[in-house]
Amino acid sequence: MLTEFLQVGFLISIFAGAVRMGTIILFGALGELITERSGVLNLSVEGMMLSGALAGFLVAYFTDSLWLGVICAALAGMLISIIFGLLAVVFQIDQTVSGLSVNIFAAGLTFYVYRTIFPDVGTENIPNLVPFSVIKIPVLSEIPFVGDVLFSHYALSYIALIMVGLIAFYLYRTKSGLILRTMGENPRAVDMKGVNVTLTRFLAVLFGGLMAGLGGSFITLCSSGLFVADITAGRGWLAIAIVIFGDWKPGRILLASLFFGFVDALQMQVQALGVQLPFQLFLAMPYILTTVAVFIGRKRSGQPISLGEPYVRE
Amino acid sequence: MPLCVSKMNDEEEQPILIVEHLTKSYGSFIANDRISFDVKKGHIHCLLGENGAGKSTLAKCIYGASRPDSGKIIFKGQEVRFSSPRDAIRMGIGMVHQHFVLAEPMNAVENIIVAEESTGALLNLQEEKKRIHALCDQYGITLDLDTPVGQLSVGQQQWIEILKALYVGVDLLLLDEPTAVLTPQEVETLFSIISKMAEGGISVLLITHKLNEVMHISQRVTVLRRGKMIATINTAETTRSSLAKLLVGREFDFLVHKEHVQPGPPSLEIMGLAALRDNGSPALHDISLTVHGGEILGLAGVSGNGQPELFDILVGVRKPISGEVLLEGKSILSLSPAEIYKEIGSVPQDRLKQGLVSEFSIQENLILGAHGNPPFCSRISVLNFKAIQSFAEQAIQRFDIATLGPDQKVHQLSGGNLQKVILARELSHPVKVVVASSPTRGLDIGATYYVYQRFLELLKAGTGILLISEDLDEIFNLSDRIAVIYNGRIMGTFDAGEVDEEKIGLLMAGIEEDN
Amino acid sequence: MAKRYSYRIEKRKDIGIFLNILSIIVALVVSLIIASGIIIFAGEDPKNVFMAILKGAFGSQRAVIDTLIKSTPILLTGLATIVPFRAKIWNIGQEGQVYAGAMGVTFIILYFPQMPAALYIPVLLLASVIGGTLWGYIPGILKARYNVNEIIVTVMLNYVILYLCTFLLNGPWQEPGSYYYNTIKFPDSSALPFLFDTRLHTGFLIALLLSFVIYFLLWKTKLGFEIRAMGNNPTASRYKGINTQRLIIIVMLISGAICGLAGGIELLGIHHKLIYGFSSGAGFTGILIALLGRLHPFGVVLAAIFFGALRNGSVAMQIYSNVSSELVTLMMGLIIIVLLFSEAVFKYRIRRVENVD
Repeated sequence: MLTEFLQVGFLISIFAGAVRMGTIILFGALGELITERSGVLNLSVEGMMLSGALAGFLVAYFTDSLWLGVICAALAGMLISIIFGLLAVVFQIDQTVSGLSVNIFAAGLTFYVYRTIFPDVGTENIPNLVPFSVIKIPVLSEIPFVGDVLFSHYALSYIALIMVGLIAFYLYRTKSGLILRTMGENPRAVDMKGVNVTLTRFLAVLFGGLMAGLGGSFITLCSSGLFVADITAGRGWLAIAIVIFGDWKPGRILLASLFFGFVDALQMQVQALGVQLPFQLFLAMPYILTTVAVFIGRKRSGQPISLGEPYVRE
Repeated sequence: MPLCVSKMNDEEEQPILIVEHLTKSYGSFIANDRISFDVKKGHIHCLLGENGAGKSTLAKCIYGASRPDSGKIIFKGQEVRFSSPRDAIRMGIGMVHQHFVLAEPMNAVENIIVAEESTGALLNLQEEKKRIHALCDQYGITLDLDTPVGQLSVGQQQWIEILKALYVGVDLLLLDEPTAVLTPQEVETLFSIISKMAEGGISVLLITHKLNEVMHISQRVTVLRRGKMIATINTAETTRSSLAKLLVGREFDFLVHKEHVQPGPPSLEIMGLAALRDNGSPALHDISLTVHGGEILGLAGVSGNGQPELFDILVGVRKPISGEVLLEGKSILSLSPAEIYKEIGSVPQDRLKQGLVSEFSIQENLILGAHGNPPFCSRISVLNFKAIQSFAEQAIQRFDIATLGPDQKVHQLSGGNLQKVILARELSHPVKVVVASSPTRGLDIGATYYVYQRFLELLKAGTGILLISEDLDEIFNLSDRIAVIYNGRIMGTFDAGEVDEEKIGLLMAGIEEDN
Repeated sequence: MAKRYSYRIEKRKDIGIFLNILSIIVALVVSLIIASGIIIFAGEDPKNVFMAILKGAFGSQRAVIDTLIKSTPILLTGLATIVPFRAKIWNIGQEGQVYAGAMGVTFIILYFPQMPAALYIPVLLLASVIGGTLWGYIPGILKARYNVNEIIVTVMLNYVILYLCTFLLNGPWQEPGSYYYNTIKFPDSSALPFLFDTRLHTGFLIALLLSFVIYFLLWKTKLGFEIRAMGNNPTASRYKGINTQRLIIIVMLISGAICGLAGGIELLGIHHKLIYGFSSGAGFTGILIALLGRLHPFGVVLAAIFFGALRNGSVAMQIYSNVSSELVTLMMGLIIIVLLFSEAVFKYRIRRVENVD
């Protein structure tokens, strides 16, 4: 009887955890989706996410307002993305080099800022705050099992899920979305019609920064309540991989994010099960799976044709 | 038979476009030198000139993509200064470019309506599709509106470009070399569409270098040469040869003087070749061709019918799924591109993409492909710069490459000089066969002539040439024998004297004569 | 007729060497100014901070030695990064390849303790090269054969090998009785000899020699020619007989090998045991160094010494002022960004054009 109960509880934790951990990647991936659909490859998602994580934490810590933290996290992501946008879109410097450099810069910046504000942090006295609590949707969250899995989540998770629908609608049902998609395939086609390619791409990059920042805020303001170096643990890179694996389509990206969230959540729960395999294997699982995912996704046809190429008007 | 638009009375023959003393230069190069002419309403007006004469520059100014340095453009009676193509579109000027500007994974409807000001914030694709369908019916265009445009034929892609202009409603439509990629039959369809437009009051400015088209469809023609407007005349009052004289300023010799050399034994034998495209679809079916030493075999065909894949196989970059290619009796299919290069020279279609490394210097590009062999490289893989440099200096002299020196980066060179670098490289070692794909595309008359001279030299030396080209004039000028490729099949192989352009044109469109 | 002028911004066709160097100098100056701003914001005097760094980096013979010691691993990873980057193969897996090299060394030490003294160090270094090469091979073959994005694979593999290493250091390789993630101390016979009676180990010399080797490789050999050609135009390279698939694997092997060597040298020259975090991020820093050094071996040498100086000086900086040593990492990232902007700005020029009416 006890084992049964434990099992259901275990499953609930994992599936609910899938949504939770998936939220982080989903934010990053949705933002990168828009950026890449416009034709720009932004490799600094990890750095933008990290900046958002720190900014969110600091603001929430010092102002006691979690939502203010969230807003500032989005802004921080956007600020970092502005640097990338200027380099890659406006000045048309190689997008890979720009993205990597901004990544390195953002990492250095966040570490420095954190250290400067909290100079005497060891392993015992890490500053922390009370994170968001889960919002249970009335009535729906009472449903056994499904209620816990689908309707008891942080506000940010609901936001991420709603964004999937909004972005899908934007891309396929609006004029602006059509322009964006066309821009990623052949920017000259929209340039000839008077669309400002540079501005649109820049805005797409900003949106990516905003979303990455939100994803970062989830880590520090929902998941943990504190900030440590490399707290993003490569999830920015996972987001980029998921855009490929999801063939640049919002629905598939959602499914892929949930799947990776599932693996992430599994790794946390499996220790409670007392499984004999070394826990590092489970920690490494998301990264191994991502490698498998990009291998599977290597022939994805949805890649925007002009992705990564600076647009030069001839 | 020339197409006629019924003569309108004088009141309606007002100019819709007047260009006055338009000048545009790039640095010290004057592309358009005080050009003046006018286009009358409802006319089909041709802008005739050779490559490099300034037609495209002029078109860009009219269309709003470039701003002229000086001069006036008067459209529909008002002086206009366009700061972007958007302005021109708003005023009623549309342009169909030579190189299409389409988003390949998206369908025709999406390509036509994207970014149009007339559509609302929310897309209503079904309605737009109906509208476009009506337009197609009006002008006699048959088009699949749902397929991704990347999968459509080149002719169909062009209808989409034209529809883009018709959809917004234009009063003046510019077409830049529209027939370059069409079969003769598609050209007829295009001309009938254009005529319908002219009948409906839309004026058409057709940019071309083909005299036949001018005579066939236009009411008036403006001839450009080296940036200057030479003459504007009613087509009915001139002839092909007098236009040709205006075009080049001297008695134009339509034919290259070729000595008839007895063709040698078969050099390159292509037998039963079948191959796939990168996306897995079939590109070549059972291709068989023979090139003899000392002859030019011209392979005529509209682009995209398998020529790139054939070129790739001959160069060694692609493997066929069946068939054989023999060079003097030995198969080359198992050889690497580096090994094939020792015996087969190649001039690729896209100079900068397939033939040259733009950041490299001229001398580095000249040894590309042979860079691992003596004398450029020692046995232990160390490069021998003395040998490389002296080779480069010789090549620059022999091939008359206009450059500051062998160290100059190749991306600074003009189109003609780029082709010279490629020729210098490919012809610097004795080859048995040369495969040349659109070798004079985009080159001016001087450079074109130069290329032809080099080819004639090769023939004298006993080398065979496979000339792959869309340009029928070029094919007929140079070839000893002509083959036609359509849809990956050889539609026929003939001696040059046996066929005329019409027959080749039919074959290029896949129309075989029965009996 | 009055002459009117307008100004137009155009892109240059080529940046000469003079402007290239100028753009670097401008970048350094601007970075210095911004860094000073950050220092002032942190409540300190920039002059003090910079003096502290300089003193810490070059103030004494010992300081100079330490600077060179600190530059060694990043010089190696920087050189390792140049080769694939020149082919536009974006290897971001230096960190993992460094660890792979270190693990190769550890493997030999732990499981083959009996070895003739003369062979010991060469074998160990060879093991580090092999370890790094193997780890670099995986993304190489995936990209060459299956066109899998190498950036993501190398980043992922970094995490994977880090966890593998953690597992080993917490398990079979852990020093008995230790609570930390480290192995036993390596035997003295495995330590790299020192140069000239100083603390500077031969690893530095190896790194310096390697920079000449890389220079020679890239500009004087057939392989280097092909690598550079491929990086600029893979299509034309293929048409002219260059086997790009083979090249992808080769550059990843070279990169992995040098990174592995870096790991081995760090272990045998400094730490003398495999301890978690031994690299201090040398892998990632290598990317920075390579970009700063404009993907040229001699530039990378300068950049590595520069960063080694900063790192070394940052210790002194932290003692004599309240500025945290993370400022140095921030500065390096800042310099790259500023350098990229500087390069971009110098690409354009303003031309005065006559307007003729």
